[in-house]
Amino acid sequence: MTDSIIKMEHVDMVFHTRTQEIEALRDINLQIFKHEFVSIVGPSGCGKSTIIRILDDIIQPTKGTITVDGYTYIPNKQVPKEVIRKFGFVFQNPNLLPWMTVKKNIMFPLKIFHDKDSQWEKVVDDLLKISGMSEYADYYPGALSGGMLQRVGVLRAMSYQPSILLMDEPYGTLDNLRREQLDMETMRLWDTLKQTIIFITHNVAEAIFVSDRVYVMDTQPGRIVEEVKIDLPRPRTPEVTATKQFKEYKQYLTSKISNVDLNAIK
Amino acid sequence: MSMKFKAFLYKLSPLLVFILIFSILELAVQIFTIPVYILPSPIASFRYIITSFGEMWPHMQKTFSQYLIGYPIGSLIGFSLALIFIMSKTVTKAISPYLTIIFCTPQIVLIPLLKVWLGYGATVCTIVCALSCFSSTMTQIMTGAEMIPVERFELVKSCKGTKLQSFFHIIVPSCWSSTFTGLKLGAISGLAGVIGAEMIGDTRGIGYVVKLDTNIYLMVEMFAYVYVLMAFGYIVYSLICLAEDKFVKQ
Repeated sequence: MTDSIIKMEHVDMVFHTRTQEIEALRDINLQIFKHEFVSIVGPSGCGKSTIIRILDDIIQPTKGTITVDGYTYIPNKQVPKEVIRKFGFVFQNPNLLPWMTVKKNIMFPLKIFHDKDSQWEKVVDDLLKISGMSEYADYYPGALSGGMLQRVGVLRAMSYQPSILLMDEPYGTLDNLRREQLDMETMRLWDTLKQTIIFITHNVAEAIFVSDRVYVMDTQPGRIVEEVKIDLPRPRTPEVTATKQFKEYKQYLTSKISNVDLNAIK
Repeated sequence: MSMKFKAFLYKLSPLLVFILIFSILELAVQIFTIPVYILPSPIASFRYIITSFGEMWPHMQKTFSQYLIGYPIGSLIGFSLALIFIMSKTVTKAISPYLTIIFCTPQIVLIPLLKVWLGYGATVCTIVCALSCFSSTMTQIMTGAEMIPVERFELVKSCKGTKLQSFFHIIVPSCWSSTFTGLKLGAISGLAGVIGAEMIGDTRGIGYVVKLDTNIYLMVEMFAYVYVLMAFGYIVYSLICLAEDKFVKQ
């Protein structure tokens, strides 16, 4: 794990509203390696989601340098499509288009990328198959449960085979059992497809369970205050959460988050 | 009660309610001997429709043809303006105060002015119809566009999509539902516009006859035209609902 695929150096982000300036991120420095599973945890409003939106060029940073797989983002210039294609984005809510079937939703990014359907049809069918969603291919999102909708959201982000997945609190609205199942499925897909994942969550246990490394963020302004390597064996099963090592990680990270929350109140 | 009969009853329920309402009206007229100038017998009005259809038809034809020209034109203008405004904030900023003035001006006060400018022809009624319905379609589409979740646009951005792709793949389909709401509201106000225009100084059309019949207390005839108008409005509205079911899949 020596090749860094993502590097953010001294990244600042200031949002301008009509009446004020909001400093969302200050001096963000992070490095992600190939086939790594990295989580970013922190309190609400600390800018976790902003980081991955900057990476995917949905918003542009005020300052700083970003390098993705050897390409350095140029200020005020759109990042080339080939670079952006390396990213798949999973939204906090499933964000499916209600007028399209499950399969059409999964193929939506391909339409935007102007790819031919026939070229990718098999890839999408395979994705549906390995996630056990084939029978729901022609369903409309309105007919699916919350967990299934989010799985479709993940499959959509994977449809064009990106090498990096940016997941913005994907299972935050689901119950613990469902979340655990989907975390397991995400790890299985990550291992099979050899992707790199940046996972945003406010759930410390979830971050430890899935990650190789965890970044802890503080708020006002959003900044990284801690980086913790998670040295738990893989493949991981829910039993790992009962181990002493897991509990120690949880205690340590929770104390860091609590400090962060207290700092925010002060 | 068998399931088949229940389903049959469910399908027939609107018709049954229709029969019930008109039966109550008919009974009320007969039992309380309501004077004809207040409420004529519905049966008498329906009979008039059947026996004097030939007499009614030219007026119906004029009203409906003007409506069927004015309503699509108005809706199309509303749809186009909404799309322009959604795409360009500058155009919205420049034009929206003047459109607000048009919205806030009751269309009925423009009718005499249009009559002076364009004469007493069908054109005025068509224009009033278009003016009456374009605002509903436009405002509904714009409201629908404002309510599109920002994540849908981010989805296109995350695939390096263009503004045009956002427009065709996100804005237009997201606004289908509100477009149909606007079309339904426009269908009602457009019809009101045509009738209003005919009432003010026209010599043909349902609006003209209704006004004339009311003035000389020909209430059976007047109600006959009102029932025809209600049926026409219902058919147009139902057709839009059918189209909505076909287009808006959720």
